[in-house]
Amino acid sequence: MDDILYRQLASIFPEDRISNNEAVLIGYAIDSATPPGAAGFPSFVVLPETVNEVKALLQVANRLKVPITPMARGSNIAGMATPMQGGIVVDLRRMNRILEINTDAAYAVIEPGVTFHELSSAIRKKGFVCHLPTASGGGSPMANYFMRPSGNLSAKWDPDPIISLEVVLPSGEIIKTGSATFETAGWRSRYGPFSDLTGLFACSYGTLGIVTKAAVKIFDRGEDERLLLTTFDEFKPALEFMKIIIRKNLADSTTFWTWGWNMFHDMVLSMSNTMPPEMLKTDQKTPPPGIPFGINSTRLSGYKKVVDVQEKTCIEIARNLGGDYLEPSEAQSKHPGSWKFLKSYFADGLHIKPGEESQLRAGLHLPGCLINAEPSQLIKIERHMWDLARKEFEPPYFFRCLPYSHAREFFFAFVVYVTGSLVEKKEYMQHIKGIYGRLYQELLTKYGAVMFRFRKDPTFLSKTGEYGYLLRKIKAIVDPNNIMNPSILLY
Amino acid sequence: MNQIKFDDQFHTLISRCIRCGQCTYGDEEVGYEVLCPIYKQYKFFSYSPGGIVQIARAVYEKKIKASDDIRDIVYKCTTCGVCEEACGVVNASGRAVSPMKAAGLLKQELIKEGIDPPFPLNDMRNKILKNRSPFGNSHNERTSWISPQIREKFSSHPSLLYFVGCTSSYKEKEIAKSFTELLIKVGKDFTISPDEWCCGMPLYMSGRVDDLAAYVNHNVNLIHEMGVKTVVFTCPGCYYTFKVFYPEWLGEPLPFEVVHSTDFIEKNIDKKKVGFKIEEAIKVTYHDPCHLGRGTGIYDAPRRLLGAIDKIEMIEMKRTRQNSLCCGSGGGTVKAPYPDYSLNIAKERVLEAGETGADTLVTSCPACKRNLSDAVSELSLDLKVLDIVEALSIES
Repeated sequence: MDDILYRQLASIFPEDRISNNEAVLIGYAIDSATPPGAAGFPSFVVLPETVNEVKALLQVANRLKVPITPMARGSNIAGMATPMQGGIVVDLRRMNRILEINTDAAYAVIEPGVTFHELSSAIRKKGFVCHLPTASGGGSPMANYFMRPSGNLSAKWDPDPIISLEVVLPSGEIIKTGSATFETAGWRSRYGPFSDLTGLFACSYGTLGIVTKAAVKIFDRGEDERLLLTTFDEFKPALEFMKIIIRKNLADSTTFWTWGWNMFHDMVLSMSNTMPPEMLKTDQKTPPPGIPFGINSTRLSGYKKVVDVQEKTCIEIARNLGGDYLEPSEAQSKHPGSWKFLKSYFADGLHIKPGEESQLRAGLHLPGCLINAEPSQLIKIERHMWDLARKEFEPPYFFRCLPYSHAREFFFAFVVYVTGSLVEKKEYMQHIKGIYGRLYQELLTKYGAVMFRFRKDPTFLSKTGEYGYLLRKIKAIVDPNNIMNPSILLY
Repeated sequence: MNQIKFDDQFHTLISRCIRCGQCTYGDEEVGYEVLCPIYKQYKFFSYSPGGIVQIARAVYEKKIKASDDIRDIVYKCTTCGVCEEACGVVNASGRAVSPMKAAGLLKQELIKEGIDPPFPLNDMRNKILKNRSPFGNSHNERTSWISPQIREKFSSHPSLLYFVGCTSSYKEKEIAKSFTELLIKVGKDFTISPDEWCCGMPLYMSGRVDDLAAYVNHNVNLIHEMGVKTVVFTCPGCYYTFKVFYPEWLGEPLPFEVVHSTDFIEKNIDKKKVGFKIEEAIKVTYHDPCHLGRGTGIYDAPRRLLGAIDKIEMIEMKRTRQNSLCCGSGGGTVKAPYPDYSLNIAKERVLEAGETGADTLVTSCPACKRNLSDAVSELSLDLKVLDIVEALSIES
């Protein structure tokens, strides 16, 4: 079978863009999640450079019923681009062109292999910023946006930054969505007179086709871009603060980081390998003396005189709720790493420089508990997580929380930072992974909290009733042979 | 010898890699362009620093066995250091494992598992063990380029030793001669030792760390016993090995100061006296050797020297300093086993140099000079390639 497949692939790709060499395949057979999930060796990896190559590839795979694992840039920390045994990994990093930057209609058309570094650098020169998650600068905006990120422009981002798409379906047909559906209309609009098919592909994790182009929103940087920091001694007023400023449309985004996060940023960005003892103390909820429970970072942008008023108003709101304003100079001296990180993401609209940016990932992060939930449930969820952590987790652990526009839903990420040897901690990490597996079900049942991204739980879609039934029917029509990314166990 | 081990601690460090790919490219100055030579040419993720890290992890976890295929990836690493600039994941202070060093450890592990380095590197090793240099010449020939007139200028109580290195001793002798003449001209009391041995870099690059101790100890003891205070190098590979690796391997600082020739000239010679030997040269561009630039942080000294010469115009290439493109030679240890790959990278570099409009490409490394010169010949470009010590003239 592999010989037949190789001959077919060789008719599409030059020799240097197909490989079945074990040493090459292993680069695609490791899940970057911690602890790693199950990952198998693909039979082949290919590197398409054009949409026509993708089309020809999918036609072959569909005819031979060969599983396909699409991969944009491959950081893959959520394990969504990890192949099963056999099949073809489609590594899209060579499709890395920025095809259009339209500053009039405020969008950019990109291919899947474009990185955040490349996109933000290109649009920044034209006075624009793109939505930046705290994912790596080497990651793919297109892939990340499909996973519904959280970050610097969450309030400007309802419901997500993707406008229109070009998708190669498993049959090899190429479709466009949004205004791009009409040949003469361009990429500017997601919505037209018919159903929103762009949304069908968001959070589909490569199970419906391979997206080869996407128009993504870009945002005018304005006359002034500012990072406003406020401090709170508990979560409740911080949550109230975020709700108000989002409802009143005062900010581009607002995020709350508990003291552990801030200390973590300070530690890693000072290139220190020494964990502050406070981060290892048993009571992780109570901050050390003189340190606020958490810092809220709010991005403001626009005309300077408007930003001045917004900033003043936000500070008043924070103080009325018992919080306080954190002067930039004080933040810089007391929390230098945190300041650097937050200013870069939230004011400058840039990932910090590569060496420092990747430093943030120097810890062995277990995938955090990522959920969205009603604001009214978040205090209960916070309590639930601290109680759980006290019983089950080793310090340090911390969380961040940010609302999307209109306080419609909150992203809440509780993260455990694992120190020490991976081998020695193997059992502990498996234990936590098991807890997370049950936790998502528990948070859904008790608090109506939904996992932010699909996490390889094959039972989850069946909990959605008729929605899941319809989605399965669509999948059966679009991909009758189930060749598209079957290893994530969504279908 | 102090060495990071292929052990649990190493595995924990490299498991921090999330395959972000930043180890392959430069910063915003160059639009985040891919600079890693191996990734540039071979395209698949495994042919990148992060890919090599993942291979090392898989070998440690026994997911794959050591193989010739792995060898033919990992030995293509030129140790250009692009990954060390960009990757903080496994390169934080106190966690001294960069992707490049992970590649070095993987080579050692391959040897332990019975996978020898590519043949030319084995050959190179045998020559080093026999003749103390990677070339076939006998050790007695090391100083054969030194004329009696030069030899008589050597000081009997020198404070300065010129460590010539193998490439300039046997292959690029003009570099050694030029620098020696320069030292004589400025009246420095210096000497050259006929007993210097290979610095060990080719052995390290071959994964032959068990052989290293003899060379490190010999060179350090030799220099220490000579009583010199400073050792000057024209070869960035030797300089980098002495400056960065020797203290790490020995676990203590060196008992003498080490300095690169560009820094030495800049600090010891009045720049007003510095000229350019090549009469017809008008426009000059400079190639940063990886081991000098990213390896030891020397970017400014050669530029200040060239910039101080009135008769030439110094033009920068797009990719310079920390964003410089490697010449592809890997100190000769990549060029020997993979000559086509190595030459392809050099071709890209000399074309970039040509695009500046320069008539002369200056570098500060004998291995870079060789590979860039080969690329110029291959492409029939009208571009001179010189080491900086060959290019500079000093007024008396």
